[in-house]
Amino acid sequence: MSTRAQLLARTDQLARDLLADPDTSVGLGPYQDWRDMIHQAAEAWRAADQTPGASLGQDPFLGIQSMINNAGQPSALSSGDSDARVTALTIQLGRVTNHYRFEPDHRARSSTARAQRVQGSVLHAGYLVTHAAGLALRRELAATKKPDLLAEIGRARETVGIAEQILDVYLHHKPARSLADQRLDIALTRWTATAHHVLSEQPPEPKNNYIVSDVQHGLLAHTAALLQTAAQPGQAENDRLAEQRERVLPALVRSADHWRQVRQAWAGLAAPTTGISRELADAARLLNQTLRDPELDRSGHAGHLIAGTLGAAVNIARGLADAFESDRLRAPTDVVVGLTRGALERLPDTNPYQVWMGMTRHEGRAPVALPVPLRDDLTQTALRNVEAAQTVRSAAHVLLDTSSHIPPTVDRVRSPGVQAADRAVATRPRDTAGPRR
Amino acid sequence: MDAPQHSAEPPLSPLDDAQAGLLRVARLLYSAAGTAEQINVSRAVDQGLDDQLIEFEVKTVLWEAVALLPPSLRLDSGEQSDHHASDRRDDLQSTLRAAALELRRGPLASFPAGTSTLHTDLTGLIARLDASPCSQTTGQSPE
Repeated sequence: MSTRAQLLARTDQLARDLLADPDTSVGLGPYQDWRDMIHQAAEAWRAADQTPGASLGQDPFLGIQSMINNAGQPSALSSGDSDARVTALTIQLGRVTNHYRFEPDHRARSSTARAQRVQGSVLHAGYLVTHAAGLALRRELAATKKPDLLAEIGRARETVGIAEQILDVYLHHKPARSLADQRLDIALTRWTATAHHVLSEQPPEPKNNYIVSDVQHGLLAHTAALLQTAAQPGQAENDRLAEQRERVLPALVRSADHWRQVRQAWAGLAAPTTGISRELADAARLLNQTLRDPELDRSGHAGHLIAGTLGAAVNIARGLADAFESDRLRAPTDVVVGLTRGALERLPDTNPYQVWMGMTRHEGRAPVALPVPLRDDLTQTALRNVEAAQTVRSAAHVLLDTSSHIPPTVDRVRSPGVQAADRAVATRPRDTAGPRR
Repeated sequence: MDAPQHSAEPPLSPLDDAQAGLLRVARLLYSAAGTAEQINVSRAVDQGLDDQLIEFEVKTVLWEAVALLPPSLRLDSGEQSDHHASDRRDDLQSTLRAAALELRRGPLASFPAGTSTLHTDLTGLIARLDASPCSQTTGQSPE
């Protein structure tokens, strides 16, 4: 029977080998089983974090899992061989999970230390495999000549890239200094997961999607506020923050403008009535409450957390674009007619007769599908928002450099295997984000 | 708030006194959210950040109230056109106070579960607005 240390060392080894010695013969192999690996890593995390009072804070995998479930599995990428090492790592994480769930702790060892050890190993494994999956997708993108695959690979890279960024934040950020920071951790994760859940519902509900876009706009405002608080002029160590702020703020402003446009688009489809997701309202309330907490470490940790959510914002923006594209989206007939008139004014080459003849009704309150020109018009607004969100995420990546505003000391248990994996990560080529479309 | 001119629909079933009171609160908060939005509509995120954050708070309280009500109830009362929403801070504050006052009509126990939390959040928001350095007698936020 393997000990915990042996299990975790083997996990570290598998993850490190996967990244350091990629098997390009399996093509998208690392990506094929990436979802299963993430789900198993999440189980391992939760198995180790099951002791009350030894909580590691919020679950870093919750938002990633929600994002994966919402994105679904691209059909064109589901064929092909798996990478045996990812499969082996997933099995290994399963053993770790079972060990922590069912094996008693014979040694007098603190729950917190045990949880931290697993934190280090599982996060590193998840991070390295995610990065390997991203590299496999990048290679496939460069190699493929099929246009229909390009978009699917691009979206898959987006999802994997955001997951990598989330894991990166958790790997390198220091433990929350206060309960307020921990609560913000929890609230941000809960919001992201709730937004993804709402966006996955069919048919799309305009009132709920309005709230999602509005809260995202509010988060941008809070990010800007935290940036301004953190970068106070006159202190040498903050001069770099001030410079970073000057790079990020313009992108934030542009992104906020696009979120407002998306918000307005959903408001145009949503009647001002009651009947919203209680879950969404609760998540928004919790987020607002934690952001107002006077004990929040606005000069460091909080800004770091917020910046980490900008990656999730890209996928939420994409979910909203998908909602506009859904042929199950409905709105009252009189609303659709009014909006379609506006869309047709912006599309002079479109034959309005065909558009109107294609509608099943032209007056009244009964729900009706959106004509293609209107749906395309709204989708383009949403896609511009996606690009703006990608831009601000790229610009804000500098905020994730922990040397800038978070003390370098991290009180975590680090095994030799984890340290070696860190060295491998430190020398990896950085994948600079940019617009995918 | 930016919303189309939707025509009215009849409520599905009669509201009791507490629900009717909560609906009045929600409508006042809807109006307040429109005002908060108008204050920010022409400003960039990094300008007037205080007002941007206030808009977020007002809307959060609005959604809190809305989530407590049955579906399909109109939030715009039709008495004031949304296209003429105020952009004044003092209007925002007075509308929020009216909503808080409405919540104090009748015993709190008669309201749906969660109303006491709404009341706490709303009064906290009003207190923060009153204490804000931008809260002047004219109600205008500095540029």
